Amino acid sequence: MVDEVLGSGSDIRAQTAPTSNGTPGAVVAPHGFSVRYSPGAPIGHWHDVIVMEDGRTGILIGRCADADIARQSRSAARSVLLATADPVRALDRVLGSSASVLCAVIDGEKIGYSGHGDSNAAMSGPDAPGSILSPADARLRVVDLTPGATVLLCTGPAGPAAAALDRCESVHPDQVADEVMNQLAGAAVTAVLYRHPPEPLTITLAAQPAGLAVSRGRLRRWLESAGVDAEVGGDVLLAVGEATANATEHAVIGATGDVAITVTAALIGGRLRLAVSDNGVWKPASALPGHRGHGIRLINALVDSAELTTTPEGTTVEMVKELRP
Amino acid sequence: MTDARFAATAASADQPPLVVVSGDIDLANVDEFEKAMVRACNGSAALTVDLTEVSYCDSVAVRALFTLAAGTALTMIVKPVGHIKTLLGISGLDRVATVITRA
Repeated sequence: MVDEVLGSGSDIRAQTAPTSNGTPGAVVAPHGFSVRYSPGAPIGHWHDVIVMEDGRTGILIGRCADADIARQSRSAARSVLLATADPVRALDRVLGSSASVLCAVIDGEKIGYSGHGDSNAAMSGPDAPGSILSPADARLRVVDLTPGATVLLCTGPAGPAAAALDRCESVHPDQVADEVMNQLAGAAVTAVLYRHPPEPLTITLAAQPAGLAVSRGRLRRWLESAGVDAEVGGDVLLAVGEATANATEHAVIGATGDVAITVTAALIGGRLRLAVSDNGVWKPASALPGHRGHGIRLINALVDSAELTTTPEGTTVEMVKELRP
Repeated sequence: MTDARFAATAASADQPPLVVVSGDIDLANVDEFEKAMVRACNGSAALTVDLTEVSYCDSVAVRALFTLAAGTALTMIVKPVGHIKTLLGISGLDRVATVITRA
């Protein structure tokens, strides 16, 4: 099945990467990507975001004045990209010099790309303002992805769009993509925006109620920068909040000395890994009257897996939340 | 510091008293939350708590709501999706109180 976006005015997000034609390892719209499309003249536009079996991600975007050539080029380039993960070889399969195409592969902490025609790449990171990368030409360019970097790949002009990337690292990638489209108003453009996972977060706080809001605020901002949607982010804040409140309320009973709580969060391979640990004394639910059992039940319902480890040194709750497309 | 606001409206002829809560509720201000509800309830047989503008609350708030529901016909207004709806469902609070969803 080849999905076509041939000058339609619809938002392309619903049409991202329809590669479920039996191709191994292909999944739809992975975490961290936002795609926008603005129609211009009635020409063929296409894009694919493909997660390969080995964890690399391939991205193909293109446009062409001839819808048939667009369809054939897309299909051929995608097959080669899946087979070789080589942007230059995939690009060779695009028919006709009139097409504007960009092909990229994200492999760990690097992105390699190649393109021709009116296609561009831009990047910004927490340490660098938005900048246009070397022009996408037939050669392979490889650039390091710093934690939290934002990459824009587009057909159409990247110049005005690069401004939208400036200091965008704490903004959700969907909002950055909207801003890119504002900057490019009127242009026929397909824009694929990618947010690389930010640095893992570590928060250490004293086990005091006043620390809860501070810790929650920092986690909320980190989740936003990691491109986690509001609804999933709400579940994560509640699961971590339960574990943190629990440690604050109960770990201090019977503990000698001040109890400290550490909250950590990391985004690894489309999966959030969260942990709340304290150096206090664990109380089994049966030892505490009231509604204490809610906390554990809630955590189990909110995340994909939760594991509790208790030692004489303290308690750790480790949680995993899958970020599904 | 955890920040929440509680706006109470007294009972009218056909409406029970209402508390509209906004902001975050956690261990640091749950007592304030509980007091605001008890004050608004003022012995009335029913109370409505509007939680649609609450940005965060957890099982600490659920405990306070359970306590209140034990003595009052409690109605809560929540958004149709989000962690507060999940919280009320998993804790079983939606079985001892009335939950109305409003976008």
